[in-house]
Amino acid sequence: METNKKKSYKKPQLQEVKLVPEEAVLTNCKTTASRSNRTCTNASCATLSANANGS
Amino acid sequence: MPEDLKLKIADIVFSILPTDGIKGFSLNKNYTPFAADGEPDVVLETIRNGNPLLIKGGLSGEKTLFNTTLWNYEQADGRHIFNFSLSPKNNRPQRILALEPDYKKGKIILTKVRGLKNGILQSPFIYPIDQLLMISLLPLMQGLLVHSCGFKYKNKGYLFIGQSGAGKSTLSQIAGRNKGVHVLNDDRIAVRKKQGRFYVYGTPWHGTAEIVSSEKAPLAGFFFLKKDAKNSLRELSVPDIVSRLFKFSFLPFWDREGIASALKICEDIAVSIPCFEFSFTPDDRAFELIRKEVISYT
Repeated sequence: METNKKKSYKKPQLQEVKLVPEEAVLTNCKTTASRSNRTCTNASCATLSANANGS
Repeated sequence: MPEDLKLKIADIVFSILPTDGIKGFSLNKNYTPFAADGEPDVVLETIRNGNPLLIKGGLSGEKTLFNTTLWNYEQADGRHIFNFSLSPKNNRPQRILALEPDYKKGKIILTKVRGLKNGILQSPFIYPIDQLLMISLLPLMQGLLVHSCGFKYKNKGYLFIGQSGAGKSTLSQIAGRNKGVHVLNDDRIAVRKKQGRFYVYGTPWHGTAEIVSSEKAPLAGFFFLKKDAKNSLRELSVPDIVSRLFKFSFLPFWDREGIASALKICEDIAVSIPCFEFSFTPDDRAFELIRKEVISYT
């Protein structure tokens, strides 16, 4: 019985992974503070304010 | 002498020491379940009104390697320096997290003190300081922080992965309505391999459903969320699982070794834990499908 069947060649594929930049690098927080650009006062959370700087 | 604050997240004990006029800390409610005792793995000292130049003094070759709108990362003599909330006027940060090369010892420097009342500092460990430290540490400790919700059911853990708007908080609320289901978190779950087994851990960093838990469970299955008009499960190839898991993990882009470890962990999880793409409707039928088709067999 034929057992050494060759596996058919499959060309390697490049898979592109799209990131959501602000999520990936932790610059967005789901609190009011990050949206209003102020330090968070929400009792359940705290966030440093985001000043426009850098890229 | 003021006592340190100890937090245990994903079986990592953080000790935060008050110094320099800080008498103690108050915790935001999402952190309270994580207050713990134990031998610390990471020790952080808080320094008030620290002069960043003095703190960074003696650190030659400082170089900004990663820059975002909220923080940047520098390296100096092998030490990791994260600067937060840079002033547009003088580029001076509000807080600095300075860590030794192994990330296990460091300082939180408050150049502009906010939230200090009667010597009690509110939340020394705030977004994104806490999560940046965690995502730097975890890959070096066989772990990952994953953008996901997760729950514990019959002592097993299940993870549902997706970016913002994928339905993590909705699914957490649906699952949480079922008897015996304990939701670990609706936005961030830590995964770690310990003694050859993967575990999922609740974290303090919740989403819109604001669900946190300090519990853990052995990982029995994980799913990539896809909103749909009907509920179904689709098997995925290992390369597809690895690339999706890598995408939805929070990665230390500033750390070559950390990125390599994270990729290896993604592969390890992909080959050892059942995984599916989960097309789901935002109602009880979604949980029913998982319960019937997956939980019964894992």
